[in-house]
Amino acid sequence: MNPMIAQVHSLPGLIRELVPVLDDTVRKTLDHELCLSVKRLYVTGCGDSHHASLGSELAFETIAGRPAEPMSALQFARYAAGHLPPTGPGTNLVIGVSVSGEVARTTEALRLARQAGAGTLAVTATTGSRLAETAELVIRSSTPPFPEPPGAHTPGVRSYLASQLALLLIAVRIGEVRGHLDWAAATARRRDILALSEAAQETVLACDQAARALAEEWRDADAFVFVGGGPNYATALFSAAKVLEASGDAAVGQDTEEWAHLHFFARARSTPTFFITAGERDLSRAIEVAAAARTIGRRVVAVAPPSVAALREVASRILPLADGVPEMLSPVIASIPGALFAAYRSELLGEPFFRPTGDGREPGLSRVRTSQMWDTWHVPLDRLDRR
Amino acid sequence: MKRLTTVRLETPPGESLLNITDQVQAAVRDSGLAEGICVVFVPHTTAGLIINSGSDPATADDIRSELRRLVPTRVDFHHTYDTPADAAGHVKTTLTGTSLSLIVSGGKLMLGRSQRLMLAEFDGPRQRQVLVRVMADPA
Repeated sequence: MNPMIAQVHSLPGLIRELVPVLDDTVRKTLDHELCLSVKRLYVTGCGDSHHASLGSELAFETIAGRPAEPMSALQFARYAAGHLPPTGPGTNLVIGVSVSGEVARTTEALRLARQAGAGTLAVTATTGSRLAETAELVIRSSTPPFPEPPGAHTPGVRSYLASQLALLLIAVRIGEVRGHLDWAAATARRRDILALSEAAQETVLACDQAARALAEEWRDADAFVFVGGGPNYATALFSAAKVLEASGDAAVGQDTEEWAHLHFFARARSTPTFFITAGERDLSRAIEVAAAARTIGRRVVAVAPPSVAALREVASRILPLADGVPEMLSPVIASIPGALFAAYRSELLGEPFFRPTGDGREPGLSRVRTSQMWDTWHVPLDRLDRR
Repeated sequence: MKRLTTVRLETPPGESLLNITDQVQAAVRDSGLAEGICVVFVPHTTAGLIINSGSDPATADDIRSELRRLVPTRVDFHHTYDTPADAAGHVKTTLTGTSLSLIVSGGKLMLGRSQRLMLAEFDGPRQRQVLVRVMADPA
């Protein structure tokens, strides 16, 4: 079992371990004044952290009762921070998510958010990091040590879960303090989040061998498309990211509606295409689009609960999700099948995670940590480093 | 003699005063106590007990309003682990208290004509318990 598969198998236990700790941290960090002042939230990050942010939007709007705008760190830092509504102190809360806390763009996003008068909250595993030092408040989202071979660098699965759980519990905290949820409703939401442990266990057991079999059966494929709507658009992006990191294949995450507008026209006919849905608001469209994909020759996988029979009938293969998980919480378990598929494909191909060293991809070349950062929103364009 | 009875209640959202006189009286009756003391206790920190008039529901509204005036729900409580309503509820519970001792005679609570025993809920909805313990006079 490679370390990525082992990480996926550890997720149910990790949920049980993390939820009480994160809930305690969130309650102690977000005071009443902050929760009662906030009118809107911006959730930002890069890579997996961006996906976790995207996946939290429905939960923030439903549980916290506040509008939330997830956006990539570049989008927030360079195109949004200077245009926040001037509605007064504490009314805009910007949450920056980064496991390492060292990525340049998210740090820049919080720096500019703070200059714009917004409240800033870092969700990071690394206290003392640049992001943590930039934000006014910090939620530590670290995970317990996990045994891995020395020097192993495994695509983030546990860290993604920690970010997801932290954001969900922040939503519950804000919703409860604001009175959007009463005590009983907030307690029920916290129980729902803790119960994701059982749903994750069920999903891992149901998908493990199915994902392995699929990786073997479709070994010939060299590109993969993951499709999702609403919060599971984030799952689609995350699943594609895991394939890119684990096996290095071309992989794309796409919004369900956008697939019909774009990927429908792709020349390659048999591209494996995974349709991810919790079976709620996006379901009717997922069924239509999956049927179209099957008709034009795509190898269609349904990543959906057993109750979503119509989509499963359209698909040629199924990676089942546990039933009964509300759509707003579903990205926590819907990320499991794609991660397992990516991990097994990497193992079957003998492809090392993140490509072997020495192929020109020197650490730091992509400059995610050393990228030029803006100190202020008002940067004259003629003074920008145009290298 | 059944000495301890637990009355269970589901309270509505927010603040409320719930008349529990009949349930406590029933617990005394079922205990078989004729002469003695009944102690009523709520094992909670955001719900208390009061005795006041049950004749006019507006009295309960006045009590709730005055408690809110004395302890407004605000953002600068030191206890922020839960909600502002919860923090205010702790203080209000301190004002009302969480136990009452009542005289039982002839198997009945010796309440005044308009007196009613009320559970004061300060952070509903919750599942609450009211413990009723009876003690007979020495023979």
